[in-house]
This record gives sequence, structure tokens and C-alpha cells, in this order.
Amino acid sequence: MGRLMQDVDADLVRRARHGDEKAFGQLVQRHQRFAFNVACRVLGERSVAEEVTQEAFVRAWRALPGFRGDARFTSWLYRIVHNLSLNRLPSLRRELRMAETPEELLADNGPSPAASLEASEKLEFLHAQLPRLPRKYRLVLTMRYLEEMTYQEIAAELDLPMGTVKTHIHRARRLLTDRLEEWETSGTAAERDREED
Amino acid sequence: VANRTIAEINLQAYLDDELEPESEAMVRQRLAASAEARQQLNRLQEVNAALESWPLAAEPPQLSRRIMAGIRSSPQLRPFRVRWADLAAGAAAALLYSAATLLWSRVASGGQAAHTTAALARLARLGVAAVRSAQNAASDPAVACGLLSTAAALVTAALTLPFWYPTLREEAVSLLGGQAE
Repeated sequence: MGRLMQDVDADLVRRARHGDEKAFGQLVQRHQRFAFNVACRVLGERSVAEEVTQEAFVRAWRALPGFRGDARFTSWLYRIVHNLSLNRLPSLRRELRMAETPEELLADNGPSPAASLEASEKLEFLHAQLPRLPRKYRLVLTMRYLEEMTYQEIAAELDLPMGTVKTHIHRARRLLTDRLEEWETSGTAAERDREED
Repeated sequence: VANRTIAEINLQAYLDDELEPESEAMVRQRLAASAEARQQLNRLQEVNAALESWPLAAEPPQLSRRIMAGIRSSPQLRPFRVRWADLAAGAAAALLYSAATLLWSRVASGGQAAHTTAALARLARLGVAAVRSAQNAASDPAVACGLLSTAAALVTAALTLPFWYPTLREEAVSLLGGQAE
């Protein structure tokens, strides 16, 4: 997030802390999409993600007078979203502490490719694979790539050792490269079969 | 499998720019020598690109309206804050209460005025000493106020409780330099 965006947020937060609903409304407009996506990626269901986003903003509003402003508003808001999402999925906390071998997670490989493997198609394939990843991987990847948190910040937020966070991110990426490799291989094979016909 | 995993971890760390120069040089050597490693790196870069461009889903159209409706029915929680002026006023009131209790007790029990005055003077000296101690102990006025309040609460308890509980009364009166009736 840019400096200007942060300054605007800080000003809106200052006003909202004193009960200015319009200022908070602007914060909602600015951040609802990201907050909704954070919830949606972890929870997987739009309707549940909507409820969690709504609840997160209401909680943020209620607690705003106590928000000291030494953290970014978005970091604080996403933390509320994470906590509410984890509350909805009580087993996720346990899953985050467990480390399966990637082979155990390879069961769902998704659709096979059609034929040619253009870069945009690869990207499309990978984007289609992301929601199929185990939810604990979706959570850490969202924190890393959407919220741009460091490994250390993720570890602190989820109360996990940093090594565990790194392992989850490594395995998630490995899972995706394996799926991409399989997809490329099967795509190349299909193309070769067609050429032979 | 173990070698492959280590090689992959190194490749990911290489992409994340997290390797020490020595390890980085080894990865570069491996990349120069192995087409398979280069292909693996290529796939990792594609995965990273996909993660960085993970599309955002559009939020439900009525989401902000629902959020704002929720906010209008939820009052903000005002945090509890210690107001030092209130604490100082409380301390003064506590000391006054102590003095009044002592005076009333003496008058009610027919104690001599001189003893009562002496006891009040001791109480005042005690108050002044408490103020000085607090000033010496804390350069911050807010902390001094806090110390004073605590001291006042203790003094109040020490002075008033014995008069409500007669068994402690004699000791309290002698402590203040008077004579128990």
C-alpha cells in the first residue's frame, strides 16, 4: 500500500475513532474487497466470507476508539478477518501445525489441459488450482501474497514457528509446480497423440 | 526424494532472494549445468507469477450497505482510561474522610481536644510526607498522583477501620499519639 493511501486511511481512522460514520463508510469502501477476498480464500464459500467480512468491519468499528494507530488499519482489519475465519474453521488451527508430505495432498489434480500450453493458459490453469489447495496453504499464501506480510509477521499472527510458515509456503508452491508439471506433460502427450493421428 | 526436496527448497529460496552468497553460487552452478533445474526454476517462476496475480473476486453488491447497517446498530466501545485528576481528587477526599472520621470519633467518645488536634496534625504531616515521597519517587506527575492515591487509600483504611472495629481502636489511637478512652 502506498504512502498516500496510508495517510488517507490514517485520517479516516482518526475521524472514525470519534464516531464519524461517514469516514468509516469510506474505509469500508476502500477495503471491503480485500477483506472479502482474504475471508473468501480461506473459507472457500462466498456466503460465509460475506458474513465474516461484515462481522469484521462491525467489530473494527466497535473497537476503533481503542485502536492506537501504531499499526496499519488494514493489518488490524485483516487480523480480525483471520481470527473470525479461524473461529469458523476450528480444525484449521490444528491443520496449520501439522505437516503432511506433499504426496498426501496430490489427490485432487484438477482438470486436464486441452492442448497448447501458452503462458496465459498456464496462468489460467494455476489460478484455477489455487482454490483447490488445502485451506491452510490458501491462508498462508493469502497472507504472503495478498497482504504482503513477511514470514515473521505471518508466524507471529498465526502463533506458529517461522519454519512451519516457510514449510507451508514451500509445500504449497511445490504442490502447484507438481500440478503444473503434470498438466504440461499430459498436454504435451495429448498434442503428440493428435499429431500421430 | 530428499535430494530433490533440498534442491527445490534451495531453488525457492533463490527465487525469494534468501540464500547466502555461497549457497546462491551453488544454485547458479546447478542451474548452469542442469536443464531439469532450469525447467524447475521456470515452473517456480510461473507459480510465483500466478500467486502474485491471484485474481480478486468481486465483493457481493450489497456488502457495504449491510456493513453500514450493522455499524449503525453497534455503538463504539470507549476504552477505559485512568484520569489522574480524578485519582488525585479521590485521594484528597479519602484524606478528608479520614480526618473527619477521626474527629468525629474523638468528639463522640469525649476525647480531649488537644489530643484530637495533635492526631490531626500528625495526619497532616503524614499527608505532606506522602506528597514529598511521591514527588521524590516519581518525576512524572501522573505516576506521583498514582502513588499518592494508593497511599491515601492505605491511610484511609488504616485510620478508619479501627474506629468501626473497636478492638483495633486502642492501637490506632496510640499510633497517632493519643490516649485510648
